[in-house]
Amino acid sequence: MAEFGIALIATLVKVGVLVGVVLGVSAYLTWFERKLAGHIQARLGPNVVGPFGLLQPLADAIKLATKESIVPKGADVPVFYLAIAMALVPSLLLFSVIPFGPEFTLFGKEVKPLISDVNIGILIVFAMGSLAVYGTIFSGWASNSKYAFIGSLRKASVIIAYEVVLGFAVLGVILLAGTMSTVGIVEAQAKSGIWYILYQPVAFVLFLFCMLAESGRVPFDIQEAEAELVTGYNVEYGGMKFGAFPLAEWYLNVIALSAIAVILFFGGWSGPGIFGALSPYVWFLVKTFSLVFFVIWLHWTLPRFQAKDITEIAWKIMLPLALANLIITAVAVYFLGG
Amino acid sequence: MEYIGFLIFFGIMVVIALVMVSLNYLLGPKNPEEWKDYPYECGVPLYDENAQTTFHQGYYLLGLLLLLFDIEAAFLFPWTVVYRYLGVFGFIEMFLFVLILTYGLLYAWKKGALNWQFEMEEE
Amino acid sequence: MSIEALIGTVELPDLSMFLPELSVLITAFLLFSVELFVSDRVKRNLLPSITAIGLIISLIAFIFSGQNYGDTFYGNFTNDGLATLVKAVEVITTLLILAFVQRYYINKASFYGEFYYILAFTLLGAMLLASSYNLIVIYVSLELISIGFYILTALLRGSFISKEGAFKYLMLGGISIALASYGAVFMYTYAGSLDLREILTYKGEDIHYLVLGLILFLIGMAVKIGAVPFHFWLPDAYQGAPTPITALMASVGKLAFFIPLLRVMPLVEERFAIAWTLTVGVIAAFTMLYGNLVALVQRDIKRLLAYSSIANSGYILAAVAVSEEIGVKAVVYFLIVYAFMSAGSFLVVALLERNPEWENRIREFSGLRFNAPYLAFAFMVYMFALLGLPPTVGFVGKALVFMSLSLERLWWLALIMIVSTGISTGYYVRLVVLMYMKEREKEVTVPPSGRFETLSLIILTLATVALGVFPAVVWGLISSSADALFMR
Repeated sequence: MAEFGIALIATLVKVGVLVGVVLGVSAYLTWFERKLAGHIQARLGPNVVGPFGLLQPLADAIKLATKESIVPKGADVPVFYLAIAMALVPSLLLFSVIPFGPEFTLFGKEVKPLISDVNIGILIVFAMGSLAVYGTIFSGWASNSKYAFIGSLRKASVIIAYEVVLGFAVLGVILLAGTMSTVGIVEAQAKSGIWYILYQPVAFVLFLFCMLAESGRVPFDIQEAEAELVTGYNVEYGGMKFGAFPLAEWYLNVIALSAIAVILFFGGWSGPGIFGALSPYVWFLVKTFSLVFFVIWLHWTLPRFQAKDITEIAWKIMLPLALANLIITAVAVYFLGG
Repeated sequence: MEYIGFLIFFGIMVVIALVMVSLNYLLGPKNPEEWKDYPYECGVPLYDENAQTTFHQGYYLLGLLLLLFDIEAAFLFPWTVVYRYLGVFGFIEMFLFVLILTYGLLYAWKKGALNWQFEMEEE
Repeated sequence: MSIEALIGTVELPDLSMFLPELSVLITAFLLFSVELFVSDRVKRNLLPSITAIGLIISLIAFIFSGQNYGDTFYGNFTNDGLATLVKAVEVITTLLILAFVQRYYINKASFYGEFYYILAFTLLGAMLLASSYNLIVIYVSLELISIGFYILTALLRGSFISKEGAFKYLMLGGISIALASYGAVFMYTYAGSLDLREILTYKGEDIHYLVLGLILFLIGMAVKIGAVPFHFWLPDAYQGAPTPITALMASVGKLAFFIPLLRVMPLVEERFAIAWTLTVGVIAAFTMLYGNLVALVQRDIKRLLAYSSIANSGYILAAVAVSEEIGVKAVVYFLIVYAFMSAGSFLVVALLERNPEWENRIREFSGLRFNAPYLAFAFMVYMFALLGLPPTVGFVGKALVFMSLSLERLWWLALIMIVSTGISTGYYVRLVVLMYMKEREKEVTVPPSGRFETLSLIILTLATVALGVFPAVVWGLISSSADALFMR
């Protein structure tokens, strides 16, 4: 019983730390993104609220939280609220299987720096990605607005197309590692000393595209298409309810999927131990945030694909590529023994 | 224990989501007006009271395709894990499975289900 | 537990038992590829030829699989005398029906390339169903056949009743699958196994689970075979479907859907024999009476034949109630010959339908002997066979059913069977009277049938008579396979 209690407390502490860090980081990611966008577009970005505009996210949060709560006329109220939870919860749950470092010993107990080390880690990622569709569909349907509805349908069709590709792209890595546990995949890479991006470059590119599409980032952000759909499915949401959607999909999803990409393709926490005991964590965060930076960089540089192209690229180019990659990997593992 | 951790995390996430939902209600002003809650339609009165109507059936087709391929991918996940232990049997079975899957994709492709807005190609 | 232990030993299947199915399967995939990648004009001739060649190869493959009995695919696939016989009949009937398909669809201006591979997959499902004791395999193959039939029923361009029939079939088919799998759950609860052989021979404490499971399974199958009171889809689907498909549903479909019941029959034990006999017997009695009575008042020939098909399901079910060797033999014989006679009668209608003025009314049959003497003769033979007149197979089939009923002393069922056969005289003989003793009501020009169609009809008509005059041709096969079922 005591054993269970200690484990429970450890889990609660881990959840608390994770939620605090993740929500804080994503709030500051908004500042970072706006600053970066400003410099890319040869302007300054936020610089009024606080030094370098550092208090801007806080100001935004207060502003969003004190808006009036408006539910559109004719909306399906329970579903309208449910959509927010359905968007937010899966994208945060993605973090539960992300290992930030190797196991370590604290007060004589083995502690793993992740919330649940399940042997179906990647499957959970896959499942949560699929659940995210509901947030979109519900919000579009419940809003009783045509713009929102069209936007949500478009986004849903994009997400489901890339969800499939994501699944098949990841299969190659699991084939090499022989396990679905995220910890196991990182350990397999650390042991062999070779990151899987060398074996699976195609899978990485596919994964990156899926990541962009799932999180609604340019060049796959047709559902938000400001000019045609007035940001699409969340047009009827206001205040913090509106804040939840970009938070979930632009920031939480990007961070989580970047971290998973690092785990799958860049060896997770592995790296030379030049920072002492904290080395794995530093490496993991450096890798993850380089990827996040890359995604934001793309967002502010590239134009947008047409809606037609986005789904057709997924089904007609990426899915065959992913299938071919899977077969080639299987043949290689069979004949070369991995 | 690992799954209990997941459940706890899930519970806390739901609480956070509820807080975010209710924040505006708790903190925001409350002065409803007649036109305030109208759904957005470029500033003109609503042409159509109800937007929850039918939609293009092509989306339904894409949904069907998702069901097909997502479930197939889910079947492949366990196979990849035990692939090394299955030997030639797993190798051949996988090929048959992926072959059938590819056939499904080709069928959808040829019949035009993958075309956006699904305009059939001129024959 | 280590992964190796979880996986267990991998067994390579004995493909020689599986050859007929394998060739149908490969044909189906070949048809699928051809349908996708070949231009429309080439397709029209290529697809039927490939189907025919594939089915003939499958028939030849029975020579190899027919000598190799046993279990394979981890015991999920059973090849025995019964399976081989039934599968061969299924392939032959499909081949005979295939001869009519091409012209029928071109005449109705509704050619679909998909038709051929759906046909092949449906046949594959029927073949798999014929050779499995495993509930999961039964479930999957039931779905394979049913989904094939739903689509095939709806594949008639611009026909409302075809879509209506398909939809009704889909709804009730779904219910039947749900019931059958619910029954399978109870049987699994009882015995902890999915193999029917193990379930029925298991000496469990609580037999109620088994009885409940069996009855639910039986009701699920009863929907599929169109037994009263679960028959509502059948007349609509049979009427709406393209006529060659109706022939397929009435022959191959009926044959296949009875096989799971047939597999249960030898395993019915003393403990639950009463429940089995009573359930099946009551359903059979209602089916015979209802089918024949309602057939009397039909005006549409396809609906009439559909109700006659319901009635015939009743006769076969009556024999299913007798879970003895003679019952099994009667069921197998009746099923095989019923496949021939029902396919034949529907195919004659398919040929008549080629005339654009033909409306499938019964009145239009009057004086058919002047317009189409050969077709009228063939139709008369099928009517007599369905009625059960002596020189035809129908007589032998009904005699066998009667024999088995009297051996089990199920006199009430035998009596109902005789009464309902008497009722059925009304509509069968009326058709013959209309064709041969009435003047023609209007000029019906029947376009000449093609070579293969003529050949197919000749074979079916000959089989309907010859198997009745010389039942020994198939009797040896039937009795040896039935004996083998009771041997274990």
